This record gives sequence, structure tokens and C-alpha cells, in this order.
Amino acid sequence: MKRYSALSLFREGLRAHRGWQPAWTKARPKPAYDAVVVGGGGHGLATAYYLARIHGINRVAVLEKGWIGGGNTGRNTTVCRSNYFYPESVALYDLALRLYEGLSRELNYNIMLSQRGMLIAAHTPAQMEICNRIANAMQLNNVDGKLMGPEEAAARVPLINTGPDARYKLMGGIWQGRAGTARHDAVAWAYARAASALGVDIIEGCEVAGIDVQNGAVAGVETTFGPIRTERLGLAAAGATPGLTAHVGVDLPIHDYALQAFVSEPVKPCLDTVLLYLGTGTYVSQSDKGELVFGGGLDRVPTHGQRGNLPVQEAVTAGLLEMFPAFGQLRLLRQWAGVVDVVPDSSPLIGPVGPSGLHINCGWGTGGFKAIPAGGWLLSHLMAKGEHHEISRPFDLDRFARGRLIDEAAGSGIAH
Amino acid sequence: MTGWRHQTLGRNIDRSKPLRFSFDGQDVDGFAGDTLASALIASGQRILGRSFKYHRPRGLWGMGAEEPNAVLDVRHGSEHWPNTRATLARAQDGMTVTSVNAWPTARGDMFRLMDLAHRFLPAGFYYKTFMALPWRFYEPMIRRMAGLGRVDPSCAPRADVAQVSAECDVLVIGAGPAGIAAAKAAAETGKRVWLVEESSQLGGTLRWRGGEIGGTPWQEFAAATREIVLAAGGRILTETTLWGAFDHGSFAAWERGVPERHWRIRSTRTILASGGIERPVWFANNDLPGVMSAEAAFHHLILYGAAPGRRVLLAMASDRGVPVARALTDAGVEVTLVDARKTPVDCGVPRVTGRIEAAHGRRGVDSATVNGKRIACDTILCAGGTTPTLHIWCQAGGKLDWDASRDMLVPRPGTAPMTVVGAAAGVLDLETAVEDGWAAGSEIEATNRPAPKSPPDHVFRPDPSLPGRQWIDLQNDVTLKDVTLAAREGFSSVEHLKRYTTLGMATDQGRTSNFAGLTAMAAVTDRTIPATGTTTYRPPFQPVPLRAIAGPARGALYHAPKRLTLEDMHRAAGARFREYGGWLRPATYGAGDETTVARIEAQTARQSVGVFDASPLGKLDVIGPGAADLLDFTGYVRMSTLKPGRARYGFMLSETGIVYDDGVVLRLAEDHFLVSTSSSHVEGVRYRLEDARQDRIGRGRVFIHDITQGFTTLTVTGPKAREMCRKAGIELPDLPHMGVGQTSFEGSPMRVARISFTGDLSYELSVPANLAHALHDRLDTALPEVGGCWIGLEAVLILRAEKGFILIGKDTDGATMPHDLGWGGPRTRREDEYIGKRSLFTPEAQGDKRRQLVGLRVRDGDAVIATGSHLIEDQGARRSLGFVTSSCFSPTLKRPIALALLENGRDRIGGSVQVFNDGEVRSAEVTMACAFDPKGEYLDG
Amino acid sequence: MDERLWTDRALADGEAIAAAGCRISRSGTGHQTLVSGDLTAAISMLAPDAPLLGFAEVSDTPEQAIRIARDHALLVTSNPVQEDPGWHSAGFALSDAGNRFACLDLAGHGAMDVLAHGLASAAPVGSPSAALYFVGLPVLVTGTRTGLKLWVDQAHLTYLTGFIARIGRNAGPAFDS
Repeated sequence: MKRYSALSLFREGLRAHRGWQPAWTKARPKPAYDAVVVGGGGHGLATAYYLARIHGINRVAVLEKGWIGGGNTGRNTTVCRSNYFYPESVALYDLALRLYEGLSRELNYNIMLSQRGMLIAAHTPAQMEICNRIANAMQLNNVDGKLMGPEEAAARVPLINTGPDARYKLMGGIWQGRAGTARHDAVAWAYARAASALGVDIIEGCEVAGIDVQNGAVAGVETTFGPIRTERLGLAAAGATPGLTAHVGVDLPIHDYALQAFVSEPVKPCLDTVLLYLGTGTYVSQSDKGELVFGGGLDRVPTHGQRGNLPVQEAVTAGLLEMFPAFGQLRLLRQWAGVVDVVPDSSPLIGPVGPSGLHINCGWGTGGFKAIPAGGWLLSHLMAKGEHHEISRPFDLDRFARGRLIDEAAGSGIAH
Repeated sequence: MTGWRHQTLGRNIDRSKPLRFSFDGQDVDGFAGDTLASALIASGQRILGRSFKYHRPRGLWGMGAEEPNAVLDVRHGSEHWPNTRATLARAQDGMTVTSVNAWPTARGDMFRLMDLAHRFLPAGFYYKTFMALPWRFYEPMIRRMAGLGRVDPSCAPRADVAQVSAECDVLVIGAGPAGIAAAKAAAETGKRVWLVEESSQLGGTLRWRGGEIGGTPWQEFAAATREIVLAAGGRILTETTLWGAFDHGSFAAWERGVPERHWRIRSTRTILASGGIERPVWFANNDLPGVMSAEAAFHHLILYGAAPGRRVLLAMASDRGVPVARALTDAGVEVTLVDARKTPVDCGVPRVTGRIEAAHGRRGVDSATVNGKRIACDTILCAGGTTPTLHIWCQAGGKLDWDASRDMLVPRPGTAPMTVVGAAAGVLDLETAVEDGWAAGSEIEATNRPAPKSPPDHVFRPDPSLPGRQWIDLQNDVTLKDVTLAAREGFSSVEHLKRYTTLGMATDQGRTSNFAGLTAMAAVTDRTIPATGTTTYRPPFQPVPLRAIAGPARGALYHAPKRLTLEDMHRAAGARFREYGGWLRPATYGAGDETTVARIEAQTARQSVGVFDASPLGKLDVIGPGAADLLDFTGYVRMSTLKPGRARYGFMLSETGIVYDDGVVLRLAEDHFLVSTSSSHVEGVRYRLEDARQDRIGRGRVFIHDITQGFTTLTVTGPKAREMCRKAGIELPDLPHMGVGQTSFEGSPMRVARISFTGDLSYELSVPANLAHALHDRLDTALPEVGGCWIGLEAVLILRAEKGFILIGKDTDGATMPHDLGWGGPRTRREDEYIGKRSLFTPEAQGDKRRQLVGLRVRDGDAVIATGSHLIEDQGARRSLGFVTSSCFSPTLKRPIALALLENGRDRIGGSVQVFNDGEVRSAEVTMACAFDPKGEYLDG
Repeated sequence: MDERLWTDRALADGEAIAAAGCRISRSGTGHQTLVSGDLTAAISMLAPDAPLLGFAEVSDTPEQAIRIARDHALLVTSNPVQEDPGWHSAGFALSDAGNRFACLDLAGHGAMDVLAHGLASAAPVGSPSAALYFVGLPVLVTGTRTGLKLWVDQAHLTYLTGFIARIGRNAGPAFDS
């Protein structure tokens, strides 16, 4: 793998960049692998990377039906954070954040992790109480969380509406300094390049049509390129995962909805942090290119359509301008939607299902991007060792039968 | 040589109304009717901006939304629009216009030296470096270099765009010749037609090309169309951008006029006549000011009299460029055609056969290399072909097919619910376009016309063999070399190409770059165009102001809370209001520190009497022979055993066994219950009841009526409650605790329920809302006589906290089950089915580490515990055992009290626990949740 | 607590707003009763002359039965109905709705325009139910000789007043007269 650096960039610049190699090898599938990962998004690619890097298993294939990173990894609003309530969630998301913190150097690819902080802002005493609850939970989990009062919060978002006619008066909120954003496409490409360099086969345009099971164990998959044998199968295909587990008779408690995201025309820096305002339910940050990236709630109609409709657009945009009236000077440049796989308790599904050798990592709903390194890390652990790491155990599918839901949305009082 | 104003040409400008604005500090003169672009061109301003990455000088390219370069910051009076496209903005007297991303001016940009480093700044260079230090070190510099205009913090545009819904029989998008013909045809069959046009006039390209529609001069045809459409009940919207196609035949359109409107249009049939965009021609330095679309030059000359230069080279490969050349020549411009066709046709304009290989010039075009030879010129016009504008088609799910014979991507019939006609369908011939429009409007099958068999004589493509840099995406500074690099690095799918190079992601949304990028990538990777794929199109069709989408929802009109009938009376009594559960309610009465006032109100209520407005509590009538069954099934506490005239406290659980709501149910008759819900959960509870009614109990057996807002409920609470009512002339029925009855008030029935949320003797008095003021008056008069007062919600919260009464969502969370709150009875006793039952017996529900409701008592002073503090062990590893849910100073007990959910709480009563808040720790004693009068002796007064 | 000061108020009796070619004022609401179940039986027993009205259906009579769902309606009468609230063996349930609904009279050719400002999609012309969502609020819409009547829960009246006044201030006529 040709190393990326200012020096190599300079050298190649003198050679009209003729020496750069493909970022990942576009492989043709072999008949058999030691492990197969279905889903070429951030989670699937990270899984393959960690299988090779940590567990020494590099006869691995990643099967992606479209182009890598083309699902939710390429459609989210790029926020990374671990400001959660339950210790299980904090452990999970902070594992991801810690891995993100070293990722550019580890993978030799600039994912532009901008730890500019995130403010969850409140406007009522009741909300501030909930924020205090979450901040204390974070501190007890040894994660950086603190409660901010109105002046400190307003200083973080100087353009926020503080006029007499403002609908909501900023009262403060939860601040996580290590939270921030990253370049979403780059995360997928970075993992793909590193995995590929370690020998992983990344196969695009390859859809899985069936799972072979023999004697209660995984034997392989049926694909558009024919059968591929393996005894270790990991599914990281987000909303498509239930369709895959249906092949082995496993029902997953997942509903797919569209989550819209919006981007304004680029402007010079005017917002330096990530903001989620509980009053409006709209969250916003500014990309390094200058575009305001914002979003809000789901389009609450089950769909695989990767598109949303006007009512949510209007509601989210009204929320944005209510918070930042000055943004009324701007225009909407792009709008898109991802298909988010929502689980009843808004926490992911990680663990073994069905025949032995089959593991899933899905159900991330609206929060999968921030967890990519952890999802990959934990799924690779499951596939390599055949058992949970302690961080993934609580997210096993069996939690529903046990009654041990991890309901972040209700637990933190934040409307979902 | 630069642009200039023709003496007479310019249909759209009014020379009797001159105007002046400034651009980068220089005065620019124009006329009413000018756009910023036309005025700038005509005044000879050539450099309108600097490119995003390399800060190369840029000039005007186009005439509409496809314009990639002329993005300007516009100020007019108190208005400020940072990223205005000069081609779409009307010039107005007194405007202050500045270039963006350039300093101090576009002409003299300080950062122009960036271009010298271009070798080291290819597409995606930032992925390969900036890793030595955390990104935060490099980011500020990168951010400052990025972004176009600037947000003015002091400018807050009003939320004044109306959002209006409409419907029509036929929606015609685009008022060029095909669209006009379609609209007229449809209107003539009596349909209500809505014709939506982005520019300010009907006519499309005919406005400068001229021509006839159906043998009539186009202006007459357009006028006749307008008449017929309006007569048939339709509408014509100009200066309106139809920007989004959504599900179920819904469309969004932005009307820019006065008043400005956001339209939501529902149409039965849709005809897309959105025309096409001229393609560039690619050669080295094709980004220099002076390189322009030929069609745009034509448009500006005829409509505004703005000519681009004096010595023009016009690169073309079809006859479409000829009228442009002729018009320019007639206007006094020296034009040479550079015709790339192998067998070009003579048309009377000087011609060179061949192609442009490079443009030259430092700040604008001063010459070009044609067939290896240098030719002096000041303007290069490009007639590179046409790309159909199919965004709306694709947004609606339509697919595209590659038509090699037309060298275009055209709509695949049947893949979207609309008919495409005219240039948008790849039909450039005027007569044919009109015919197709007519057929679509009349709902007749268009004559099946065979497509041209042979591909065009010459198609323009970016040629990698040419030395020098050729620009593909002007705004994002993406060159052909970047496309080659992307292919080399494996970013060869169209989506990867776009995301890696940012080609097509600028504010012009790839209108002039997507096709080039696609064909270049196809060529470099040796694939066909269909195999390489196309990008998806998403709303908006063109950047739309956020204000238009947000509409009027702002301030008092954003998520407005519900208002009490007696709000005016509470205000008169000095109430300070706050939102609780979606309602605006009195928090306290009178001036002073809120916490102090609330304590005094609570104290008064405990000692004599307090009255509060409890109207927002939900009131759902549940009536019918199946009413008791419904409540038994949907509730945790059985209500079928409740006697008429009595009330009982209960819970509604979710299927997960988690407490969803609590409330008191009143039984008014055998088959008539009144369910009270939390004020914020009325709709939610109603839906859950409806769900069970329809799916389980039976629609004919029980009915649910929401009568919450029909009545005002005032609660009289305190030891002197009875005396108070007597003094108010209210005859209370004799009721036991949790009894309900009726009395008369002003000739109407008044429900009286003896229910206590405060722990004191308490009567809830409910009257129809039109008697609310009368009841308020009576009570208000009687209050001082018993030494009572009006109490707000803050006082009520204190009183209920003293009793350990929960508030849903505050003292319960997403894991709280009824037995955690001490209500384990029904769980152990009920044998019948009810919602949530199974979940109450999972291993987790039966576990011994559940968080249970308890009270907390501190002995280290009067400081109240912070709500949201967590509870931890006295020793050992710090792990959260739970958290504080309610906390206040109790005026009754004269000490701080608190409620908390604590792991194994009930077993820990009497013991101690540590309270953690933001790093500080206090000690607390675990007590019962009820801190005051656990035996309930005060309930009788 | 430094919270928002709400200074807006609901349209009062006798006041009027002009918006979009229409005059909006408070209308009398009579006595309100909710009935469900066998609507025919209920109406014949409680208000025999009341027509059952769907979306924007016009009626002059003071007694009206405004259809909400297949088996649910709001009875508006000049006098209180004679029957008690609760279940009636004729097959219907009856609730005294007190003064649940406030009523706005929209008089003028622009009545449908005003409606268009608050609907997410086209008006349900011809619907047997008078119920729809107007600016996200559940309302009932009946017709009059001069325009429309909008029936809305009391507590939303302040917001609606502000919203309609806004239409009058900004938008001008949505449609040419």
C-alpha cells in the first residue's frame, strides 16, 4: 500500500500523480474464505479490517451489492459522539470514539475527525434536569460530559436565537468536548484501503441471495457471482439484514424508515460545534466545506425508498431557522435520505443468530455512523472468537426475551 | 476587450429607468429589468469571482441556475443574500454586490497564488495528508478557505413565506414551446392547468431565438395560451421554480415574486417540459473569463442588449450555433465559427474547421489555439450540445437511457408518472417539440417517430490527450486530470467519482459538469455510458431558500402550546406562565423569586386552601357495554370492579411492561367511565385505547370521546376546602375520598370529584368552559375569606413530591415498571390478560436489581439535592445505582426532600447512599417515597 | 425563570381578521354533544332535524351533525340535548362535550384559500367526513352560504388566531379573484 503523506503527495505532484494506486483492489470472488462479511458500508469494512489486523484472519471477503459506502455510511450527518445514558451504551459508543481518535493515523487516511464538541441544548427546567442526569451518567462512566449553563452554552453557538421573540430560551445543556464530526465517505474508503492492503477481498456489485446451512452451521452464501463457501458469516447490511436472516428463518425486530438529511450552500465559518436542540428536535453542524448539515426526526412511514417527504423537511427547516434566524439568508442545496433500521429500544443488535457461525451487527437506526469502528471491532471479535466481547454482550438479540432493553430514547427523556 | 451594451437590443430592459449598484466597490450602471449578470456583462465587468480551490479568475458562463461562477454576495437595504446567482437576481438601484471567496476583490484576489501550487492540490489531496497532527490543528485554516459567501449575524430574515396547498388536473412544468403547447391543449379540453415557469416570461428559448408555434408568432401563441388556461380555471406561475417531486404526485414549488410562496401542488397528470442545458466544450484553460455558453450569449444579447465581447470564436458541432453567430454578427460582433464537424455546412459566417485546443490569457481570454494555430479573440462561446434537464423526472423515480444517436441521456418511458416533451425528452426540433407538447396536453399518443439512425457527426468530449488543464466542474475546481486520478485510484463508479472529486456537488448541482464527468470516466475506464451509471437526483432542483421551506412557523407560531380558557384571569392575578406538557400554565402567582413564592403557595395550600387550574388533565369518556373490558385490557389496575360513583388510580403499560401513563379513572355508570390522563399524553392514551377498541374489544361495544377541552377543572385543595366551597356558594355532594358526584352550578351540572394529588382534602370541580369565568369569580371571591390563594404548578409539584406521588416521565423512565413504583399487586394477583403482562415476568422484570422509587433525606443542611444526581455506593467502584428524579425544599417538613429511582431501593430503606453530582458527593438516607402523612390522615381535612 | 413571554391572544367575540379575501370572526357554537355508534339512531333521538355534514357541506340549520368518522359525529344544537351522557341502548354513546370546540367563521370567496394555507395537501373535497388536519391541528370544516366554518379545540384558538392573522399580513391573496 503506497503510503499517504505530505511528502508522497509532493513527489507525486511532480509526476502528475501517475504513481497513485487504486485505494482498494476490486477483487473477483474466490470459491472459499475463512470469513465473509455481507455489507460494504463502514461497519462491514471495519469488520474485515479488524479481522485481518487484530485476529490475523485475512482470507476475508466483503460482499457489497452496490458500491462501497453507498448506503447509510454515505448518507448520514457525520456526527461522532458518546453522550449517552446507559453505561452499556456509553461503553459501546465511547469505544467507537476512542478508535476514531486514532483512526487517521492507524489507517493512514485522513478521515478529518473534527472534535469540535457537541451541545445538546435545553430550554426548560425539566429538560435541564434530564441533561444533568445524562451528564452525571457520562461522568460516572468516565466519559467527558458536563452540564453547561445559559451563558456558556450561548457562547458556543453565538448565532443562536436569543431575541425576545425566540420560541425557546436557551437554558444550557450537555456538552461533550470530544464529540464532533468526521468525513463519512473517507471512513469507508480508509477502512477499505487498509483492509485491502492486508489481503481482504472487497467485492462490489455482489448481492447475497441465500445462506447455505449444513447441520445447523453456516456453510456459505449464494451470490450473484455464484456460491462462496465459508464457515464464518457476518451480516452488517443495515436495513437489508432482516431480509438476509429470513433465509435462515430468523426474524429481526427491525422497522425501516427514511431519515432525511439536508445541506445548505457553503458559507464561511459560522458554527463551530455540533448542536442538537431539544426544543426543535433539529440538529446542525457546519462541514469543513462550509455547508450547514442538518436533520431532525424520521419520516414515520416504513419504507426502503431512500427518500422522504415535505412535512418532515418543513418541520426540520422551521426548527433550524427558529434556532438560527440568520440562516434564513441561506438556501437548501441538497437533500437526501437513508434507510434507518430501527429497533424497538433504539439500540443495535450485535451477536449470534440462527445457525452457528452466523453473526449480525445491525439495527443501528439513526446512530450507526458514530459507532462504525466499534461495530466492526465487536463483530470481528464475534466472528473470530465465536463469543461476545463484554461490550457487545448487552446488545445481543436475546435481550428482548430477557426483558433487558436498553432504551436510550426513553431513558434520557429525549423524544424520538 | 470585454462585454458591452448594445444601443437598441434588449427586450427586457427599460432604458428610461437607469439604475446603479456597486460591485466590489466599483459602480455598475444598468437598467430596470437587468439581472445582475446582464448588467455586469454589459458594463464590461469580466471577472466576477475566484474559483474555490485555485482562486483562478472566473467570469459569467450561463444564463440561469446552471451558472457555476457568478455567485455573489448581495446587500440591499437591510436585506442580505450571501450566495446569489447573478443570472437569477434582478438588479436594483443601490445594491451592494461583492464577490465571494476572494479578497479584497475578485480582480485583485490575494489568494491567486494558490494556483501555482495546483500540482500538489489535486482532487482529494486532503485525504492523503494532514495526519501528523489531529485535524483540529489544520481545520481552522481549511474552513476559512472554504465556503462561498458569509452569513451576516445581524440579518434575520422574517418568516414571511406563505405555504399554500393546491391541486390541479394537469401540471405543466416549463413554459417553453413544448410546455406552452401542452398547456393550451389541455386547457382547451377543459382541464384546470397549472403552468409553472422558472423565468419571468413564457416562451423559453423562443424569447431570443424567435420562431413560430403552429404557424403563429410565438408571442401570440403564448398570449392565447394564457387566456385559455385562465379561462378554464387554471393558473400560470412565473418566477416560480418547481423544485421537488415527492410521493403521491406531490410537488413543491418556490414562487419568488411578491408575495413569496411555497406551493405544495398535487396534480392528477404531469407534463415535464423543462428544456435542456447547453453543454460546454472542453479545452485547456476553458475556465477563463470570456468563455461562455453560446446560448447564454444569445439570451443576454437579445433580452438585455448585453454583448459578451467584440471578437468571438464560437465552437460548435451542429447548426444550433448558427443563429447565435448571425445575431452577434448583426449586432456588430466579429464572429468566427470553429466547426468540429467533418462535413460542415456553409452558413455565411466566417468559419474554421477544427477544434479549439486551448484558451489563453491571464485575466481573461485574449487568444485561443485552434488546430495548432494561435487566433486572437476576447470571447469563446461554446455550443457543445444539449443535456436534457431531467431532475424532476429522476426525483419521481424515473430512469434514464443512453441514446447514442442523440448523444443524450433521455427518459425511459414508463418509469415515472409523467410525460416528458420537448428538449427535456431530447427533441430539439421546434416543430416536433410543439407537436409532442400538443399531444401530451390533449392526452393523445404522440406519433411514433423513429429516432435518428446515425449518431451526430461530431460529439464533444473532454480529451485527455490535450496538454493543459481542462475544467469539468468549474465551481468546485475539478479538472479532467482529477477524473483520471479518480479512475486510477479506483473511484470509478459515478457516485464514488462525485464524492471523491466533489464533481457535481457545488451550488450549480452539476448541471454543466455531470455529463462531462460521466463520459470522461466512461472513456478512462473503457466502459459504455450505461455501464458507468448516472448519479441520482434529489430535491431541490435548484437551491431553494430555507425560508421558503420553513414557512411562517417561527416564534409564537412555532409549536405553540395550548392555552387555558382562564388564561386572562390567571394573568390578572399576576401569574407567571411556563409550558408544562404542551400547555401554557401558571407556574407561580405574583412577583418575587419563583422558588420562594412556590413554597409560600404550597404552605398556604397545606395550611388553609389553594386553588389551581387542572383543566389540561385529559378527560376521555369511555362508553359502552364493553367499556369495562376495554379498561381492564388496556390498564394495569382492573377497573371493572370499580363501583359507579367511585374513582381509582391506575396505570397504562406498554407491551414492554413499561409504565406509559398514570391517572385516575372515574366510573360514572355501569357502562360509562371517565379516564383521566397526563396532560401531555391525551392523544397517546386515546390512540392506545382506540387500538384495543378496534382490534380486541369490538367497534360496536365501546366508544371513546375526548372531552378534555370542553371543561375547565379547578381544584380546591387544603384543610379548608369544604369551607371554601361553602363560602363560594357551591353545594358539595357528600363524597368519600375517591368518590365522584355532581352538583349544580349556574343552572348547569358540575362534576365534583374528591381526588387528591396533594395529599390534602381536595375537590376537583369541572364545568363547561363557558362557565369557567363564573366559577373562577366565585372561588376568587371566597379565597381571601379563608386565607387561601391561587397556586401554580410549581407549588402543586412540591405538594405531590411531599407525598411521593410520581410524575410520568420525570419519576419514571424507559425502564420503570409498575412494581418498581410499589404497585406490585395486580402483577401478582391478576390472572386475566392485559397489555404488558407478559413483559412483567421476563428474567429482567423479575430481577433483584431493579430501580425502585424511594425517597432521599440529607442531613447536611438545607441545600436541595440537584435533580439528575446519580446514586452510588458508599465504597467501592463508582457505578450508578440510580438517579434523583424530583427534588425540592419541603415547606411542610421544613427540609429538603427528594425522590429517586434506586437499585433495590426498597430493601435499602433506612440505609444510606452517596449522591453524586458533577464530581461532588453528598450522603443521603434512603427513605420511603412518601415523606408526609404516609397514613393519609390529611385526606379528610 | 427567564422564559418566553406569551403576549398573543385568541380572537375575541366581535373581532375580525381580514386575510386572503376573507373575513374571519368568531362564530357561535351552541351546545356540543359527541355521539358514536348508530348515528342515525342518535340523531333521530337527539336532533331530528340535523343534517349529517361532510367536508365543507353547507347547512343553514342551527342544528347540525358534523361527521368526524364513520361512526362518530359532533352534534351542535341550540339547546342542550334531552338525553343523559353515557350509553344508550338504541346503540349509541353520548358525551357532553361542554365547549370543546371554538368556531371560526370564514366569510368570503377566499375561504378555501385560507384553508389552503394550512393544509399539507389538497382539500378533501367530497369527503363524507368534515375532519382534517389544519396546520397540524385536528379540525372540522363545514360550509356556510358565504364561506366556511372551522371548528377547533378551544386551546388552539390563540395559535390559530396568530396563524390566520399572519396570512393576512404577508401572503395576500393566494389566488387571483
